[in-house]
Amino acid sequence: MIHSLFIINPSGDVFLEKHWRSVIPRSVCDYYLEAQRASPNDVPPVLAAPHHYLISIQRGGVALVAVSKQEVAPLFVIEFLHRVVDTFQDYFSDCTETIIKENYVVVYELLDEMLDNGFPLATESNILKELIKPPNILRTIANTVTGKSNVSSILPSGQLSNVPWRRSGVKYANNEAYFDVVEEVDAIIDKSGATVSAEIQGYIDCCIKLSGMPDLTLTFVNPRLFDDVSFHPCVRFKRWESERILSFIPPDGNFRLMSYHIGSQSVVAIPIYVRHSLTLRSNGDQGRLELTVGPKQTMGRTLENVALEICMPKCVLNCSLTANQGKYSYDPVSKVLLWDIGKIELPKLPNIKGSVSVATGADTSGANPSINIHFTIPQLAVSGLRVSRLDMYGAKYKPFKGVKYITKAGKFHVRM
Amino acid sequence: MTTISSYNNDKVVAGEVEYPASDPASGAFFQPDYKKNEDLKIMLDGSKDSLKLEAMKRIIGIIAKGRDASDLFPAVVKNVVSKNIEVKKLVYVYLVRYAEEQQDLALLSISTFQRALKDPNQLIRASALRVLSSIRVSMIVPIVMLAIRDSASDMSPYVRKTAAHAIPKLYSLDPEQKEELVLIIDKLLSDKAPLVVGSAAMAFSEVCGDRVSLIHKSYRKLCSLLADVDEWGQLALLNVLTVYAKTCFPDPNEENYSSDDSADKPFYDSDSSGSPGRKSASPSLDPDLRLLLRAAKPLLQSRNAGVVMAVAQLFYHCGPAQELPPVAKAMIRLLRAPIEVQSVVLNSIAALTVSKRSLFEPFLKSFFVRNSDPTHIKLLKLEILTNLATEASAPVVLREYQTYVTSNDKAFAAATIQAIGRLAVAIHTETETCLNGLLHLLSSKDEWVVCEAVVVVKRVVGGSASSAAPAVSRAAKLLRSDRLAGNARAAAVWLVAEHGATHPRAAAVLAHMAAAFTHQEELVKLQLLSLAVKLSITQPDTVAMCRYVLSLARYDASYDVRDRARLLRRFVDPPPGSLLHQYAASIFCPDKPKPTIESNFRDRQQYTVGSLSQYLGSAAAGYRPLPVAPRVPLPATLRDAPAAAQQAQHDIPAQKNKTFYSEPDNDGSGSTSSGSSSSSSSEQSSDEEEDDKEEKKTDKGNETNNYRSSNSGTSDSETDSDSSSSDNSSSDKSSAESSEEQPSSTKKEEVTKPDAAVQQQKSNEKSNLELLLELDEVASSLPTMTPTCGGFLSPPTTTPMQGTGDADSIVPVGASWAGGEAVELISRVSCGGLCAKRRWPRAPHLFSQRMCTLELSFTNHSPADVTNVRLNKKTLTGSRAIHEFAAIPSLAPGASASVTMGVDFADSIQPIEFTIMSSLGEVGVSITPPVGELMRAVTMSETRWDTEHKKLRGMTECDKKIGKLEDEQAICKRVFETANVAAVTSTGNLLRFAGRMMSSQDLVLLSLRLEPAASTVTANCSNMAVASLLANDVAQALNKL
Repeated sequence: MIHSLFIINPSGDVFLEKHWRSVIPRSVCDYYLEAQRASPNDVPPVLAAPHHYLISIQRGGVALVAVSKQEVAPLFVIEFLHRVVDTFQDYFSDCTETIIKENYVVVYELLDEMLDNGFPLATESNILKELIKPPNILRTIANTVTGKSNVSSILPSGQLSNVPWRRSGVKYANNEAYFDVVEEVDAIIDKSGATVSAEIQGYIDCCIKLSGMPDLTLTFVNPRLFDDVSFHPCVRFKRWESERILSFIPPDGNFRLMSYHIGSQSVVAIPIYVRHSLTLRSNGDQGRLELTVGPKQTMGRTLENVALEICMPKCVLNCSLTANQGKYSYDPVSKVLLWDIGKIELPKLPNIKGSVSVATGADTSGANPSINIHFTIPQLAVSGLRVSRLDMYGAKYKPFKGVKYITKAGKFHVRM
Repeated sequence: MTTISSYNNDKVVAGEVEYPASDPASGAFFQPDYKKNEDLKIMLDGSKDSLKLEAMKRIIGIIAKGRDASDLFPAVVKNVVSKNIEVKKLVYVYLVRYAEEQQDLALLSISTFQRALKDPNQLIRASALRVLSSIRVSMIVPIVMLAIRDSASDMSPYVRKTAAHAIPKLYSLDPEQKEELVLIIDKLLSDKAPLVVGSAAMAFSEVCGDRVSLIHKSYRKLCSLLADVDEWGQLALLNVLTVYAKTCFPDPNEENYSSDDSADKPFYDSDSSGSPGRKSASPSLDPDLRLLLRAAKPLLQSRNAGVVMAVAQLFYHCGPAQELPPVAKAMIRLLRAPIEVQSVVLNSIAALTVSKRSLFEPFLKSFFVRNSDPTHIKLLKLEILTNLATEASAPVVLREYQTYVTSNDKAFAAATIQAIGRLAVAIHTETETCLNGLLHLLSSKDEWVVCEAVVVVKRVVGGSASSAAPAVSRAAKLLRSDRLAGNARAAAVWLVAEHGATHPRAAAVLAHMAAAFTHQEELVKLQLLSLAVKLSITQPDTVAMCRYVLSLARYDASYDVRDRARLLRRFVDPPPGSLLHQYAASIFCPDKPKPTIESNFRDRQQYTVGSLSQYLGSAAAGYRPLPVAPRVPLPATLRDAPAAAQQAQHDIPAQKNKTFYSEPDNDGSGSTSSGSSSSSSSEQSSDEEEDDKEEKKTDKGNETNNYRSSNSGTSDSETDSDSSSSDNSSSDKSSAESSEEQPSSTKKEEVTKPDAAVQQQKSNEKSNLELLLELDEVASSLPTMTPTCGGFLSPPTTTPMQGTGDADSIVPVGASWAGGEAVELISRVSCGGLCAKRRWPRAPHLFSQRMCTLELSFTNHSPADVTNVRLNKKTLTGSRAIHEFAAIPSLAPGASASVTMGVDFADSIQPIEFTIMSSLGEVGVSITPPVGELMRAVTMSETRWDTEHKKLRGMTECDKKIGKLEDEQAICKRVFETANVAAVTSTGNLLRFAGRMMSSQDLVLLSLRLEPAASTVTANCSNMAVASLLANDVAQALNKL
């Protein structure tokens, strides 16, 4: 179980600590800091110190280090730490050092409520929000005037009901339910443009503001697409298994209803291609770089927010390029070339070319940079998934419903 | 300073203390801090809630930063009673943090929590229990124990959940409480609320993870609840059930080896769950195990990676092999999760692929490395790819490796070369390709790659001569160009020596290297020496060169090199008569077996999948390996039994009173025993039960007073002779365990005997029992002990169990001493001649048992008759009460009359005041009771006394040192004079006495430890004031001896 939690900022200061059992001195974090110093971006999530085990995550520039004294499932701790950060983001809209410091009292109250003796007590955002009200200016003023506090004195009803994720007595003037179907394409494209591997990771994020206790069912046109799925606890798994229908009583507000995976066995459409040529000459001459980007299999949609990121070999000193669209920048320290293209409008294909200055005498053989591509395609789910209908039971009103599709690049990778 | 200010910049209440601007130059960094604490104290001591809240917030800030705020403890603790819920919460946070350091002060807050435990609001009850149990002060162990026990049967599932959470806390505070806690865990495990079950499972694995027998009866219920429990509870529950399944069911893969083949075709039916095909594949699967697997499978779809991993663990260790593919699929899904999750999952997959390669083979492409992955992820993926590669997939994998070798990440590139080496060894069809690739790498311009490649080539080439020739020539070429670093050079020399002994280039290499021998590194020198000797054997014309090298080595700076040279010289220049030379060839050039290069993850298989130990590759503290699966399944009847018992419990709703002592554990075992005798089920079940019994007997050790065997056992045999033996055993056992109340044992008997004849007998017995139960009242309301017959001439202490035959219950007895002398209450002067004396006769009062009897005797010293003596005004506080004496109509001059009145002091020694009215006027009277009179003597068995004493340790104990004492008789007498207690042990070194408070019925235990130098008086009572007063009084009385 989790004994203590330390939150560490990028410069290595422990700026918040919380102990659920006996106090563990913060010097235990030195083992983490040492590992971090050795390789800042490559800290193993589990570290063994002589008497403790440190399990850490890094998010939003801060590192959360949980300390345990004995055997514990690492995924349990990691998952919980992520849930902590999610909760902070839910409360304060972000999770950075400054924000945590500004709200340390709420943070402390939350941590106290989420974990009891190192074992999770309440992690559902709906329950927590009833116990401890999220801070906002209006409430702060109201509290100062009325003398009320942010802390509830009664047990949230959700905690005892069999739908613990939903708070009771929800009331909205406008009842609306929005679903975002987001798909991310993970791909590795090799030098010659052939697809080495491609997968789709999709999720359905909801924003549901419905009064009462609505019971929703969501049906898909083509549910057979899914290779593997995972659900929010509210989804009735039996229904899904037998009928391939998502039936659920939703939590109030924003949440992720399901995520799915369309694996490397299925054929995945790759919506973009890059033609690239990079020559580096070591004899003092300038190297040359040319890139052309174009859409492919986009089903008539446009690619937006396209950006290319190339981590150049160490020998590249600088680049002087001209792009026919968008802007580029090169950071000579981190050796990252960033080309922000924006929207691709046919028939003009974005192109960038120019010279690359290479350090004299450097070995350029075998250097094979790779391109990370970012893009979004609105109104398209690249897998072809479509929501067929949404029905609501258990409430009288007629809600406003909306579904939005979007495709993004996940870890989209082109080897050069 | 910036961090500090950012903590405190919010909402400093207007008009409050202004901090002096700190001057960093003057080193006054700590100055404002100190001042701040001062004004925090002022704010806390004030009356305004807003100020208190502000102060508490700042204190939490100090704690959060990890700085010391312990000096504020007294000021903070006071606010534990604050009405403001937020202040209260923050005080709780503070208290939990510092209670361990300030134990004495922390005790001040305890009573607040005790009160809050009775609050009607469940959140307040729960949070009180949470904080109370989090205060790590060993003094309060009994209080926490009591609180947990009460809360475990609370109405609210939330409070019960909190009770489950409190169990490990108490256990870590005082491991001695284990047995009692186990009982509570057992009770909570059979709870029906999903909220509770998860936490109970957590408590179970923290406190008594090896007591699998506790799970039997709730196993099926736990399986069915699995889906409803919250995700963290699912995690804990899955872990518990995995251990359970491993202990109770044989390995499903042991029996049907034939089905292993089907495991190699993984994606046959991964989508359709519970297809008929699979059922036929594993007909031998235990239905209970099937139940668990079916309940767990949907959880693979959980959003919580931990839960998915726990299911994977269950299926891998306990499930049949053909059901693993969906698990693999779910694990692949986790690879999209955050880096940390990926790392753990990949690690587990790496360990799994060592033995179950086919499982992940279809997902080969998911493990392809991206440049953006952190190094440790890359390495894990590489490991998995290497484990997964088969003859079919090797070309694809090798093509990937080609890309990886040129990676900027050196560590990764190096690992890739190693991986190619492993592939070459593992997959024979690809050995040639791999070796060619490696040799190609040998001529790479990157020195680093070359070095790594040489080392790997050395390992790969091993013994096979055919592949060695090109390797040797390339290595020779490299050596001549002097481009290799030390390690790689040594490897290259070794390569030449091992496989190139007959190669014509070898001599040239040796010549080239020998020229620069003195500049070589030590490792290279050693290899050169063996190269020289080997060459001298295979190519005799090089002997001269060999001698040259040996002589160079003889004067080397390194011991090792010199020693080696001395050793090898014997082979080159054998001393006369030595046989060594003849065997040189077989010593230096034997046929060696090919090396096997194994995955580093092979030894991680021994650990449970997904555990911390598996990740680290070594057993973590507190790691419990899964038990070995039994050959024969434990009988399913173990799990049946309680279901029937529960059924029975439902049938008799009248008996469903919620006493803690109705231990379901007893139910289970009791009914099993009756079941086995009536239906004569398999031997194993009774064996198992025997084991259980034995375990419990050793557990309970000293509590084997089977008083009931004489009682109920005989009645059984009268009415129902054929089932008497089983009933006897069950009742014996239950009486041995249920240490206090009898209802549980009756209930058990009722539960276990469904036939009608027994029903009748039951009612019979119940009436007996009621009698027993009401003995308290019966005994107390009988005016048996008149002052005269309870004299100390024949102290009843010698036969403490007299009469009742009930060794384990607490029985009230008459006072051991009733000769209290009368004390003057009203002097004759103050009331014109009416004199009153009071006395404590220690007889039970007839009006209410909560009342102390007080005897007043009036004497008329006045010349005239005094009429109408009566009690007039009484001032009473709280729950105190007075039962008035009957008025005396008239008292002749010189005559006296005595009356008795009853006073309920509510266990407090506050004086009671009343007035006595008579014809002579009204006189005020105040009576302060000695603490010893507020109790009534009770007796019990010594063992019972000891158990009760154990429960009352800690805060509720009070010690006093007194001088040396010898005469036990005199001591007893003096104790009886001081307090109305009865002796439990009246001889020996430890004298035990017991009493019960009149009002609250709390037990009072008094003990005297007689030691040669000094003795100790110890009083235990849950009312701490009573304990300390009693100890004082007794000590004073004894000091007068």
